[in-house]
Amino acid sequence: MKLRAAIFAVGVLSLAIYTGLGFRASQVDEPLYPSPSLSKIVRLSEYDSRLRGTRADTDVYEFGEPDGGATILVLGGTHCDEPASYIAAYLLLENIEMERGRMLIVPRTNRSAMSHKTIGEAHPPTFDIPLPNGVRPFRMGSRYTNPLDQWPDPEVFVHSPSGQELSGADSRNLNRSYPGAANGNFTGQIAFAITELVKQEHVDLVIDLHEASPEYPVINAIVAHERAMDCASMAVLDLQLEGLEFALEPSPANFRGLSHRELGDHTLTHATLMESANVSQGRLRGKTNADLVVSGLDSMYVRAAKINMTRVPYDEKGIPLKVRVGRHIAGFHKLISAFSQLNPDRAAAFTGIPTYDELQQHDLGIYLDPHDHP
Amino acid sequence: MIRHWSLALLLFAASVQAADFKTPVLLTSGGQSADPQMIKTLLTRENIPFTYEPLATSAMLAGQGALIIVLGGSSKGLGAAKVSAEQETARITELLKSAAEQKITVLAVHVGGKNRRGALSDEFNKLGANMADEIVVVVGGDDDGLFKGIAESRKVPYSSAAKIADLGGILRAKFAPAQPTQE
Ligand SMILES: [Zn+2]
Repeated sequence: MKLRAAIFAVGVLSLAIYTGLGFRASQVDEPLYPSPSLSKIVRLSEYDSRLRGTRADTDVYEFGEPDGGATILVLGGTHCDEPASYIAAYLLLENIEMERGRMLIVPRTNRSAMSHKTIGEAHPPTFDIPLPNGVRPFRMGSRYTNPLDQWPDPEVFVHSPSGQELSGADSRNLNRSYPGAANGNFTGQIAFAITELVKQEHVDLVIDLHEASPEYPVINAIVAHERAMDCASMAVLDLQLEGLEFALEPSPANFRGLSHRELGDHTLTHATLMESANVSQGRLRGKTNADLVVSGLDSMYVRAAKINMTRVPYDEKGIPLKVRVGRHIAGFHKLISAFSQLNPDRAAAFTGIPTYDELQQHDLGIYLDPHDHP
Repeated sequence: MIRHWSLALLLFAASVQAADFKTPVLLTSGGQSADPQMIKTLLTRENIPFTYEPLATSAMLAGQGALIIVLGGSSKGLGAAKVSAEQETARITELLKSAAEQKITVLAVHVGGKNRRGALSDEFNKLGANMADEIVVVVGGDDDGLFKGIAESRKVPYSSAAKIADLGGILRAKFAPAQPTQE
């Protein structure tokens, strides 16, 4: 009897240690290695002091100097189960060399969402990107703010100030919470801080990076606020000329809380958002693991595509992370060059960022190798 | 960079009379999708003078050399513009009838591929194609030959482009300052 109790106790204890270590690991930011063009790192709490010391306080990496060129803001990791969004942001901040203008990069925009995973999704805690020598692990997070930071969810989430009603869980969805409020809930405070950042730094162009499941209608797309439509449509045409199909989607006027809608309406910025196709978010996917996140290959989606259930071309090649990151990087290039052509006095210029083709040739690891950063 | 526009083009109905396009251009939507925005960008790039009004009526035709209507319906777009499908149909009909009366050449363009086919879109697609002087479709939007069929039965020129970006060359050829004595 005592032996059984002891075995049971040891079992429970090891389980507690195992899950405890997993929890601890999920709270640790993986190191990032900003390019030498970095001018400073500030915390998001600079724009809303209530975030200071919380799980949502996050780094804002600034490259270049105020020199009359455009100020551009890249948001990665708004939804932390959309890996191409934050891996693209990491790649940008580790490689960019600003020549004109300022680049602000927030790679973990909802840092709280990076610290846990959505229940029931079976997402892996981490996935590895192969480097020339070895691998580099990255966390996978959740679409939502960690419930440890904001709980419980209301029955109905009422967006402020519009009064739009969404499901309760969306109260923890950063991209339904813009423009946010100083006295709002925790997620609304993150949104508020980003809105303040855009205002105080006079951000000219916002590029919010996302992914969505292959059956979602807005996919392989650039979504743009009215003010950004000229810039975005020029970018879409340029991308087409290089063989990358993007759809231009106008920001819906009466769908509130989204970054492109609210940052466009509440600030003077040109607000855009990009979506790539990520099977590990899809409802039709089969086995979910780290391989799926990186390879983007799921046999269920191959079958789904054959019966026209996907909104993007999908076959046995899958849609690997390097393609999804490559599309974000290509869109980044073209949005900035379009903005610069349309606003020559505020033009921005940079080097160090691969083209889509270079990224496909060399793979992600070449651009994410910490050994390149002494 | 060399762009082989001619390779991207498939010209049909070579025997039909070529429409006469003049500038400035009035650019409008037929169904309130965002697709005209792409044509707006192409016209800007090609330095073709134009006015863009998604809800244009005959009142705006005065002084225009041609009308480009970009076909394809968007329920979101109609909602945002606060017009019903019926009101949009009525506006398009009034505009295109007036253009015909005033002998203003109408180019109907469809760039939205499969997403701009289907019940809502096809109402505008058929309406526009049936009243246009020429039809251009980006590949993917005419897999069933709807537009081509209408063009053939009405004996108006029809062409298709491999992608939206290729329309730049088509628009340039139609609207750029005419070469002397082309005809
Ligand atoms: Zn997202």
